Amino acid sequence: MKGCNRRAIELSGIIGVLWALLLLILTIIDRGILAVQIGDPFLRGIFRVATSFSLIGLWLYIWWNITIYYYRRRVATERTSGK
Amino acid sequence: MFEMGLIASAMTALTTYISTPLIARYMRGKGHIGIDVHKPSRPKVPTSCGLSIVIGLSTGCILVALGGDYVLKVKIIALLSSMLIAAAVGLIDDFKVLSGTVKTVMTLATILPIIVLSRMYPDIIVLGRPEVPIIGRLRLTIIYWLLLPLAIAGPANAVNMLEVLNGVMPITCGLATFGMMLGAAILGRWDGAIACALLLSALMAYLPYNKYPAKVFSGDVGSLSVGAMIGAIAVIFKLEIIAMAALSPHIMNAFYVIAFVRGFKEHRLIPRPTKVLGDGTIIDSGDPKAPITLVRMLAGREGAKENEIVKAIAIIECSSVLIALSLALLTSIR
Repeated sequence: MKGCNRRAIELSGIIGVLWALLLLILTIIDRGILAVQIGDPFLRGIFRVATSFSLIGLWLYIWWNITIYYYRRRVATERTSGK
Repeated sequence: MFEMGLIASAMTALTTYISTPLIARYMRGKGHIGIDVHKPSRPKVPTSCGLSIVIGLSTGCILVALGGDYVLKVKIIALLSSMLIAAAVGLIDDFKVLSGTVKTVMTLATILPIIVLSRMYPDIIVLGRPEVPIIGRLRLTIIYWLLLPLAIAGPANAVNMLEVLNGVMPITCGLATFGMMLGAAILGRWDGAIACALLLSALMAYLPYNKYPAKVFSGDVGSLSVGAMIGAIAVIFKLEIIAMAALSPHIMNAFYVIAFVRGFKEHRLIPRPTKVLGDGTIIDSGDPKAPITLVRMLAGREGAKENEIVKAIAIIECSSVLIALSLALLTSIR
């Protein structure tokens, strides 16, 4: 298989994994974090927003690192065309 | 409604197909041309011809608004207004180059018609709480309104950032729109499916002129208006998550560039991620200061021809459409 087609399939796989992870994180936020009951409404709001943002931030961090890892291991290390 | 949708789609395609060569001739006459840097002969190609997509879509939207019921009229007016604002920003940028930040800020205005019409007709254009599979409607209240300006500016700029190769915009956006149309049909949102059909027909009529080797370039007027139309369809017809999934390659590419350069910069100011060899092969530039774009990753160090990279992007787009349809099915099951 041609290199760019192989990489297209691999990148499609990365997109699939990222979507599955996003759905998982959204489910955790909706079912877990937003369901947590803390007495003080202000503290509850701070907790919900901070934790949800941290999880979404974690997802973006994972996305970025997968990209960098993929580029360095699969793209930057391959032999040049020699042209 | 279906007959009207079919007629409007046919008219959209016809208007786009006829107007593209006329606009190309006009732009060439005015000397408004771009150089196709990915070809060894570096041909001069008339640019800003994506204006024909705007003309075609305007025709289709007006026909649907005339033939549709009151609810559809309001939605189509919101859709058309957003798209026209994006087209105006694109046209200004094509003739007077704007900085990345100014262009992004100007495209934020595309959400205004939707917000105004949602305030005037709150029962027709319902904003807030996007629907997600498994979970249902997200409990986003304040954050939704904070993110809303990006709902159209985001896809508009993301489509614009990936439009670097011949035919890549009509092919990827056509596939994404097709996925959204099926997703809307799965969810029973037939008005959304009609809006998608209009965009799909305009893109398919435009593709013969823009495919490899391109006879016309879309310019920012084409890419921003198509991206804005996709974003507006997503917001107005409540297809946010499906549209996000369908536009995954564009979002992925935009995320890489924005994260790498840490902000919005005009692409002419960013080091080139790829270089073109004498025979037209595109290869990774190897420049550590250049962003990791989708084209750079696909071309790699071994390189690939322009049309091969476009096919590879189409493969990623097809898989994204499958994800979008899976999400639509999961949402409909709930």
